Amino acid sequence: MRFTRDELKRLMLPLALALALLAAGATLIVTAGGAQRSAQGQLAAAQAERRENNERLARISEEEREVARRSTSTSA
Amino acid sequence: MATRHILYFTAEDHYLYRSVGPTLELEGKFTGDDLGLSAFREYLAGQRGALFAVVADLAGEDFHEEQIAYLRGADREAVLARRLAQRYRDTRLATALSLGQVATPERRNERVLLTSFTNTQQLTPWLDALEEAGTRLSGVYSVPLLAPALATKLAGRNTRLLIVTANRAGLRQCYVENGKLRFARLERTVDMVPQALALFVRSETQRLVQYLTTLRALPRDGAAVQVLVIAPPGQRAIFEQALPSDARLVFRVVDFDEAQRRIKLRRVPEGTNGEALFVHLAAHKPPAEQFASREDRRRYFLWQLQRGIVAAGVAGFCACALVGASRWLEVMSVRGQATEQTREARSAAQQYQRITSTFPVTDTSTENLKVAVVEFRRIAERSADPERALLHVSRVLEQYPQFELESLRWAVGRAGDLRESALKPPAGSTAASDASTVLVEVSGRVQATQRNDYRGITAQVQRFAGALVGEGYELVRTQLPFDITSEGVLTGDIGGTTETAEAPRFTVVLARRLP
Repeated sequence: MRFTRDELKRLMLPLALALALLAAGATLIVTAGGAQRSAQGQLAAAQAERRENNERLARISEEEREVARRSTSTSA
Repeated sequence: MATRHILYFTAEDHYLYRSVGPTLELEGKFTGDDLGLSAFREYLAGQRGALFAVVADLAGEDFHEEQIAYLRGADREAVLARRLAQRYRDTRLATALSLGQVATPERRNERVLLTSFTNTQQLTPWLDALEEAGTRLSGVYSVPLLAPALATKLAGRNTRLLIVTANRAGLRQCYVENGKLRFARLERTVDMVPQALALFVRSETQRLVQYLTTLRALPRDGAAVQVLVIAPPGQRAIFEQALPSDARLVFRVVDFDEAQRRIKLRRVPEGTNGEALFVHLAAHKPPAEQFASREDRRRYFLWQLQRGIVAAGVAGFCACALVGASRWLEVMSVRGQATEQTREARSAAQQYQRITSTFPVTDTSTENLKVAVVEFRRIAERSADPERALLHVSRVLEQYPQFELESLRWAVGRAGDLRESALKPPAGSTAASDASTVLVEVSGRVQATQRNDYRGITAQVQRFAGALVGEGYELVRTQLPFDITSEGVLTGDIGGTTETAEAPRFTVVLARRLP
């Protein structure tokens, strides 16, 4: 079936609408992908911060125990 | 949902229905003459772009079964077009319905039912009017073409079924075999009482069965034929009474209201008969086979294409939205995890602060303190302690009770400094004069040995000096109570006459390098 120029013109608007919808959908996916990457970056940073703080806490706890032990042995 | 207009076309009058969802409304009634056509054209003046379909319920509808070679695509279309052209003078409203394949010894064939109207001229001016008005014609159907869909809705896919309806055009009988139309006829009726109509249905059904048997469309000694009769509203009981089943015909009467419910038609205009069922099906479940040509349906096809493109776009958007939504859900989940991790990190930091707050306040940072402690430990490790030297000398002295300690000098410093202070460091340390060294000078006397026993005294002092070597200490020098080198004068009296009462004196110098 061959379309006349007038018929092709009539198909342009739906085609543009469909393309706009597809573009909107693609934008949605891209935006979501960006947000996903950003969130994963935040998670990685938070995990690193937690790990570092936990290590510092473990060290300081150990030092605290050592100080307490030494002070106990000194007083004895 | 798009509104569809259906022109129900009979030999006398034509009824225009509007189908909106499950309801059917009568838009207008047009006579079959020129006056009616003019009125129809006037009506169409404001209907440009509207969706239209035609349901013809005419007596002159031809059905002819043929076999063609089993083909597909353009070849099949060409063969069918040729067969239609051979059979019908005007093929504008002609079509071929497939009845399935049939295998012959030579080749595989396809059974087709060629169908058209014997007089298409009564329809064409109306179709032209639709075309001129710019409407979108979805198709031209006949009541028999719609009968299989109605039969499926009401009786499933019976092998052989006669479906009988009383329409405005007359009594319509359609023979459906395995869900496919085989034959149909229309018998005009006049106004008659329900009892008479039921009897008319019976007689006409028997006539049709006889005819179909003659045509061998029905087997002569086959099973009884199912006859589905749609009785006008409220006349089911009368019809059931007038239509008893026998060995050849099994009547099943369905009330018009029940049939309406089965095809999901909720409301019909007053005075509508069985044709409403077919009109509704033409609007909502149109069969693929219909009479209009591709050119007649061009605008409708374009409309479908437009909607299809938009629908594809919407479908694509929905798919993207689903993917995006799933990603956003994941984002929310990851953000939740990040918040949890941050909370835990903050908690650890607070705990750290709480612990460090109990420590003494210092003017410097913890890191500086750590560096200072490490440096202190390193210095402490490198610093000498006289205790170690004293312990070492004490242990050796315990083994030599004849040695009496007079003095012990302990010194630490660089090799050069020690040289200046008359303490000679070990010979090897001159090269590394910067290295710190511990020097221990042990002076004492040898008791319980004869003073003139030079060899015994020398041996004892050397054994003692040898015992002091170890645990990092090296022997730097040993000073005996007499000179045994060639540099001095050898005399027979140790220490001279003034010291004859004292025990022989010796000195041992030890050195230990600090790390």
